[in-house]
Amino acid sequence: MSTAVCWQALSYRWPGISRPTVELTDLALPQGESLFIQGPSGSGKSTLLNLLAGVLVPSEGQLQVLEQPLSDWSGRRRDRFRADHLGYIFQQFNLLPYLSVAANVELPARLSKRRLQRTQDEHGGLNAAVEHWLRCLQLPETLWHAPVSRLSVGQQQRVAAARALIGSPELIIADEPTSALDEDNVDNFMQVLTEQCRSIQASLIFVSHDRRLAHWFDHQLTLNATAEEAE
Amino acid sequence: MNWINLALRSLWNRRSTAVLTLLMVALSLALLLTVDRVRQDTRASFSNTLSGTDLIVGGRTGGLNLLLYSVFRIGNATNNISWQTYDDIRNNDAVAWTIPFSLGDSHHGYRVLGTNNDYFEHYQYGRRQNVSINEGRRLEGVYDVVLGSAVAKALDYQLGDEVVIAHGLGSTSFEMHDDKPFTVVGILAPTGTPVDRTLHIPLEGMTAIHVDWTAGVRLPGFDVSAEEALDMDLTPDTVTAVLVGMESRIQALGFQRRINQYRAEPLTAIIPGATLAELWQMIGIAENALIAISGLVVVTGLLGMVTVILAGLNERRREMAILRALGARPSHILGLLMIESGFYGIAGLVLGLLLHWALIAIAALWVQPAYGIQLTLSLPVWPMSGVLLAVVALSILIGLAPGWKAYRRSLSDGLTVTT
Ligand SMILES: Nc1ncnc2c1ncn2[C@@H]1O[C@H](COP(=O)(O)OP(=O)(O)O)[C@@H](O)[C@H]1O
Ligand SMILES: [Mg+2]
Repeated sequence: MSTAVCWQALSYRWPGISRPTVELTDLALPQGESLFIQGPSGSGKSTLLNLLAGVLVPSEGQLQVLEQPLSDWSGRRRDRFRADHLGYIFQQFNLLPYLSVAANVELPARLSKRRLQRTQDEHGGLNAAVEHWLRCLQLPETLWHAPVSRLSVGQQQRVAAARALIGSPELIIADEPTSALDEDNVDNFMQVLTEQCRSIQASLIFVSHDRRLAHWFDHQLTLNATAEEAE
Repeated sequence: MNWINLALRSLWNRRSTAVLTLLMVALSLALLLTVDRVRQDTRASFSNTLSGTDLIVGGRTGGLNLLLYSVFRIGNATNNISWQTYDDIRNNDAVAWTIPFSLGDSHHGYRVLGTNNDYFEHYQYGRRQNVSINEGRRLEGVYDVVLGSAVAKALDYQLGDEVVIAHGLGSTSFEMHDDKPFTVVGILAPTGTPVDRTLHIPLEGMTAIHVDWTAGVRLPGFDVSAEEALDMDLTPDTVTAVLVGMESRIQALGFQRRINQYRAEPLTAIIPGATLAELWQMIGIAENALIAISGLVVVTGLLGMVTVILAGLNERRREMAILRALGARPSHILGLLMIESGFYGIAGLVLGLLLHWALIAIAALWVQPAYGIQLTLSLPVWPMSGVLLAVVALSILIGLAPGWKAYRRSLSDGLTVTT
């Protein structure tokens, strides 16, 4: 069984800050399983996700993503890897306002040959894939070609999820994607997101300060802000 | 979806600022192009105005002044030449032909030139072209007038129309030679030179309208009718200037020296080409200043453009983070901003050219009739084309400033944008 992410004694210290923002013991997440990371604001959740996405490189320790030694790679290669293998969902404002809903969902396949090929293999084409994911994420068909500004926050988050899922990347990373949603929307969003990640056997790494969401996940990890509070 | 496409769509999303910024760049380039065009066309028009004339002789005055009032109808003569001197010049063995010019009166702001039919024989402009009569004939009677094409067109004169000449220059002259009207007997073909804006009358006609005048005022109680004047000796006492063609060109320099040292009266002789060169030297200073200012305006436009891009970066942190999350490299982000500034350069150039052509087309409507300068619509040629290429290259290059800032920032922001 392969691992989605795996780290040993991982730590990251922002320049100019005396203590490491991220300081973690070992962890290995099997491919296809999901991980819930929760912790208060400022506990380094986003920093950790930046490490996993290959935007930051650990100050110390070992980190492997999809069994690749990201930390040993050039920035250029890590960026390529992120385009090919990762889907990323932000807390909000995920979409480029100057592109239509469909064009936003298409973007990852436009920027990665590998993911374009996968839309071809799995859905028979890019348009078919876009439609598939927008349908799976329950976005009304009338909005598919609408400007992003016509969407509610909940709808925007679901388009962001569709964009993360297109081209079936192995790892989906979500940074508090539900914090801008209301109660009903949260449940619905969690439902479709976890379901669709399973459908492509992607691992989901999900960050939130809301511990009530933990039950949607196979594993959980709690970060505490002690390092930060000591400052 | 390539990066250029993304950059342009992003710009379209900010189109109200983008349009103003584009206009700023375009206007600055239009200014540069127009100043340069007017300069070139002015030079071309001036150089085209006279050809084939070896010397211009006038009363003692500055060479430039003589050239301006005799050929370009700019400014006024201060001294005239006596008829005796004109005769001497005309009869010199080295002289092939002469054209006498008598200036000082006007008609609706167009200058009246007293001359004789040697004018139609020898006056040349452009590439040694003679003036040609489009309609009618040359000067025969004392009260004949041959109109330049622009005069006939602007004032809507036909052959046979009567023309009253005003004393002195300026379109609002009160003193009219209305007792001796002239009849249009000929209209010249267009030349694109001051000839088009000139009324040509015989020297005798010029004398006739002034017989009852002295020192610029009408002599009271001394009216001479048009018919009475015909019986008088109408040989003028003076002429304003004489255009001279030499038997052989090489004699021009020696003859010029002799005229400048003429004993009977103080004279000035100039070689038109040499004096024109002097003029360019003088005007060159002003021209260069204008070009330099236009150049600075272009630089200011480009700086303004970068400032706008830089100022917009803060609002676009989110956009950059999204692109980074999708796998964009920091160098892609830098490229996006260079595409944006390059777009301003290229689109600014295209729009600037269009604006420039529009400006020239509009300006030509009044510059052409008022100054006889032919403004032309044309694509920029070397070295202006090189300058424009440099501006476009520079516009892409200065995208490095906001590009670098965004590059640094996307490295430190990563995927977390708190704003
Ligand atoms: N871009 C950055 N530059 C410098 N320090 C940062 C940056 N981002 C985060 N940090 C530091 O890391 C700490 C944790 O931030 P973050 O990972 O965003 O926490 P969380 O997502 O849990 O709220 C911050 O309090 C700050 O001190
Ligand atoms: Mg965070």
